[in-house]
Amino acid sequence: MKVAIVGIGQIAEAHISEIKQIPDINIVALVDLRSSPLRALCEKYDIAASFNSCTDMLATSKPDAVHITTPPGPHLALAKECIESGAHVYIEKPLTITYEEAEQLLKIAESHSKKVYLGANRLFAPEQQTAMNLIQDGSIGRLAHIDSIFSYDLQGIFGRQVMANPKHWIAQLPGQVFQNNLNHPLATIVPFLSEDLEIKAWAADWNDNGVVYEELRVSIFDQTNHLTANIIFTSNVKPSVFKTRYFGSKNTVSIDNYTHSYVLESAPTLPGILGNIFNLRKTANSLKKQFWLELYRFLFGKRTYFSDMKDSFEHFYHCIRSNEELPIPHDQALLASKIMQNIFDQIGHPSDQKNAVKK
Amino acid sequence: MMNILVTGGNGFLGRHVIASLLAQDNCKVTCLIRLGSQLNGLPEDKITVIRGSLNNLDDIKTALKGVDTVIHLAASMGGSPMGMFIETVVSTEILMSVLSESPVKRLVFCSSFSVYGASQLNPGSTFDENCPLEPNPEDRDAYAWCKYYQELWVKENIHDETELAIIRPGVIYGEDKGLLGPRIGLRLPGIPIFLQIGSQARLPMTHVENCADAIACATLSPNKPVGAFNIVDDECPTQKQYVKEYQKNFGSIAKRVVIPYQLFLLLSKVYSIFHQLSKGNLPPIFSTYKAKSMYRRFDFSNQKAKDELGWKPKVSLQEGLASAYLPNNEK
Repeated sequence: MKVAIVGIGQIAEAHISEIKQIPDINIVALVDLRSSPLRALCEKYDIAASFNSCTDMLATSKPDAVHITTPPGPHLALAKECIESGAHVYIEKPLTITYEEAEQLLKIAESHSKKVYLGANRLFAPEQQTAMNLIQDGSIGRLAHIDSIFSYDLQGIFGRQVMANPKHWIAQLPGQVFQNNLNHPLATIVPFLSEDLEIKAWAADWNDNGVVYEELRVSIFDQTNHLTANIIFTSNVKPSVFKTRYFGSKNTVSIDNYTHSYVLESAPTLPGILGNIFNLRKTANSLKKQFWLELYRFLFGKRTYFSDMKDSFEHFYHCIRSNEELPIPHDQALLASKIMQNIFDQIGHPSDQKNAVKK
Repeated sequence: MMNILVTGGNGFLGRHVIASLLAQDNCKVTCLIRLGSQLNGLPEDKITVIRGSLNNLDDIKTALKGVDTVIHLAASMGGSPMGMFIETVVSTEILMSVLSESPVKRLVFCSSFSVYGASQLNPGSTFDENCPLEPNPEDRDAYAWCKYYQELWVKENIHDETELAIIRPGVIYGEDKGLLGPRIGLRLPGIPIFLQIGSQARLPMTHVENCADAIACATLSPNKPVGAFNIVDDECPTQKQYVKEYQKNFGSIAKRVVIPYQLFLLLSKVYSIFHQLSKGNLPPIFSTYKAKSMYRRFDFSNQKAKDELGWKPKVSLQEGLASAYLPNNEK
């Protein structure tokens, strides 16, 4: 299968190095407006062709699939062009700038029988898969509530640049930092939601930077599935966190996407405090086993930092070949986009005084 | 009057370059510094400060108005490799595209010693400007990779009518920076020792004021500077000599363990096996390639800079270390 990558920014090298490990996939071309990263990465990864224009690349290289790793502004236009030339597209989150754009894009894809894969790769982390399996096989009973906590370091090298520059592409997104990251926590929630949703969102610029909001709280009420979900997006905590907790009618499962661990909490089998203490022992034993497994995976390269990304690429290519449904189907990608649009419409911009909660 | 634009002017080297330029009467200095970054003591009353991004074409065009000379120092020192590349090389690509349409007469570009292919040289060789460039920059580290492509981009895209001086400094030290750098040894996370790697390799040290003077000389020289210039001070001490001088000023280095070069080379080979086995989970901090590039004994020549730029390092190693101070985390 011939693959091309459009947009040689921060995440593109991870795409290239992970694709290179997948048999029968050949990266035929890279595309970027700037030539220096094209040259450096073509030389580093032995890629034959590079272009400054997506149109030229599509005409010359004729890829089967295109990974779009540009900022989200041109996602719709680029994806449309790729689909119309006959390629499936993998789009780094967020899918598009607005819900309307996402709707338009998926309509075009479906009319051309092409697949659009929304890149939110944490879905393939082993602990996330464990949680999904426990929910699907009924181990936690009826799913009643989901909490997803995600942090973003605005004090890091990249975050500081965003906060200092109102012209930064992230600062100019309607949902700013949230729009560039919210697909991660949403991917852990959306598979369980119907479209019958009530959403409440609240955001704050506690550091008064006036450029981007730092804090976001979202409550989602699913009237059909009788399910609720909370998203806590924070930029003011250490260490970085991405945790999701699924509360069921029988048991609860918590996952930590950074330590790649999970905890299944069940009702004590022994009475009173003793039952709680033995539950603690059960949790400690389970975490001990997971520690040794993680260490083994680390030392022997069974999972690397971008393994989840490689897994999602493999699913994408498999679904193209077999014409099966994608792990994140189009309707889920669209629902995530709709929820995000709803949130961003509610919170507005930090310069909008009536919406911002000031210190 | 020369109208000079300095990129990266609020950085460690940049502040000293601007001080060297302002010591002359005939320089009008403009600085393009990143939005949100600190001035770090730059005299705003004596220079023009433009806040913007080197990755933004319009910001560069604004900064270049009326400028006849550019000193390009800006480079990213940390972050992801691709992030560093965008901040260092892509910004240089944009700068060069604007320069080709501007009346700028001279570009003084700050490269690095890391662009040399040291692993290709025999031990004892003398590093001069004719040494081959790094054949595998991606095998060194992200900084070397970025500086290699940055220099390549500058050389290949310089306008015919613009004079180009490429400054390749060795290890720049001074104030609280570069005092115990990786060419001497390493502090590993979670291990409370300073691992000194070898003792006989020479260190291509240059005091920040000496390096800044060299850049000022290349900028102000009435003669057309041609090609690259290595910037190292006259004394290139061995690791042993440097550590002795360092300890004279700052006391003994706590928990220093000296590991012979050959043993380090062997350990690097073993580590490389584990790096490959873990598919990169163990970061490539040690490799035989890096060890051969950094810890073998070479001599370093600064003759070309002295002869053609009229540069003379004025701060000796003893003076440089005497005026330096330890960073907070080393005290």
